Amino acid sequence: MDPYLVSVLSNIGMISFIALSAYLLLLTGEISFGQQAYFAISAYGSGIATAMWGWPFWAGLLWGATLAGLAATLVAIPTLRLRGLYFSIATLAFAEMVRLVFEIFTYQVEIDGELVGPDGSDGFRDIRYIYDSNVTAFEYMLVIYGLLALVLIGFFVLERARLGSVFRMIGEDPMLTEMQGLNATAYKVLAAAMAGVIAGIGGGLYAHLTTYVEPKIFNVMLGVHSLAYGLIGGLGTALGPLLGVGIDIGFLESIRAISGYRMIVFGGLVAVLLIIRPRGILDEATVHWLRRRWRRWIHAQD
Amino acid sequence: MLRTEALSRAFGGLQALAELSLEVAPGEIFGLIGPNGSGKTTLFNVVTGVYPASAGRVWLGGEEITNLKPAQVIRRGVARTFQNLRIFQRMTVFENVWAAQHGLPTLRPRELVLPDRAAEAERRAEVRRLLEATGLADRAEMLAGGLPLPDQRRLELARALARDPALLLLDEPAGGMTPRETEAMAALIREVAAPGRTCMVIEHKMDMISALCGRLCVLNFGRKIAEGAPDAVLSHPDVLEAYLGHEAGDA
Repeated sequence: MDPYLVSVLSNIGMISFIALSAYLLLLTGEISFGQQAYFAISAYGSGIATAMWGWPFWAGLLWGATLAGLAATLVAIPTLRLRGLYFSIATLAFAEMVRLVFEIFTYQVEIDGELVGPDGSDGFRDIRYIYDSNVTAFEYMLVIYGLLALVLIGFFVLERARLGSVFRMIGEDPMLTEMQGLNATAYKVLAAAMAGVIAGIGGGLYAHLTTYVEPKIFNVMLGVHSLAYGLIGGLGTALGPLLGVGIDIGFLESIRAISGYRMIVFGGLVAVLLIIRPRGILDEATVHWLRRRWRRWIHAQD
Repeated sequence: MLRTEALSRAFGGLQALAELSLEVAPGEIFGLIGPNGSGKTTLFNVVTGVYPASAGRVWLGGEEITNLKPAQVIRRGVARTFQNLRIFQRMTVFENVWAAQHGLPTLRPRELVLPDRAAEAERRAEVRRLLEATGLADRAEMLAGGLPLPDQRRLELARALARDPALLLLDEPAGGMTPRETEAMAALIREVAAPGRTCMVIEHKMDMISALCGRLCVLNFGRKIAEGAPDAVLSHPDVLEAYLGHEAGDA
């Protein structure tokens, strides 16, 4: 496979995790500008585990995602008492705080005569586990998509289950959700924790693919993008944010003619869609319609 | 079943409920009437924990529930509908009723993700029964936001019934309905109250409420001005005055 295509597809896959992470919170009606913080925490955490502590890749990834989930839970408990815009600003502030901490976070050990580990704003080099283990870029892409498929299956199970319905109820009307005997805040904390883990998986994968992470990658633009993917692609199904990622990275980036203007086109697209389709291309009504059509079609085949 | 003692709620300088003491007996259909802004909906909101009480206490079946969180009150067997219609618009009619089961105390947390096949089938059958009973069965797969208003009221009732509440609080269940629809709603309420369920009904339609309820309480400016059998209450001079103004009360 063409190396450029492999790298674009790998990027789409990794960004999909953080898009799904923001999407899960959007389902509960919360707009987070800070999911990049959990992406970053896991990128550093899993990188430290494999490059410095000599852990195997999967253990490092699990560790990074767990750290991200814990951080997300700790942040959610105080901030989810805030509503709407206040919550959004709190997530943004937290994510910037995390980024600034990584700007000064230095923790290095000597391995084979070389210093390895995060070095403040110079970043964290040589997260080489994948290359040292002779995994090809193509094989690693399959790892990314395998994990993405698992997360997606998780989303499909969730959306058919009562828990997914609880999340959507909170997104529509938290008070009415309470009136069904459900503690809306507790379920929002659960959603935030799950969203942290999902962003964390993406972050861990990212660190090992690029072998180098630095704090400025995890700036607010990453958070804004991941939020925009769900809003463009649609909030009716987990395939919505993936469609959003595909449109941005797959389509806009591949059109060379607009290469320098990609952000402008993307920003305009978000603005237009928010006006004409506030809940994205694959919104609830569209997904509902498609499902009914699909069921009718299946029925007709019998 | 439900008892309040000197229950008060103020919003700034406005006394929305003033030392209201009420007792609703088990199995009774109890009517709550009064002019707009007299505190009827505020009473429902304080009972269900949406607003904390400024003073006073509330008991449900002998247990004090004053200032419990909404979910805690609901889990003790209370369900309510809303005057201004609150439904999950982006969900189907079926899902709206199904959603009311998520927080049932009999549903174990694990079942939110991994349902028991038999128990889940039974619960879904119950949802279909309720849609049947409220005349919504043929619209089960529609998005609830697209329902006409009377159907949305019936949906609210079906959703409240899905919790099989011991105490059902209905806030203007026939609001905006034609006389025929109102009659059908009254019949429906009688039916759901038949197995000894306690109901409290807020309504402005006097014909409906006096036919439906054994007892009425009339609120005005957050105070109880009359209580008792519909005929006696509706001819009470204070009630006439509250509804029709001073001169009519004198006449």
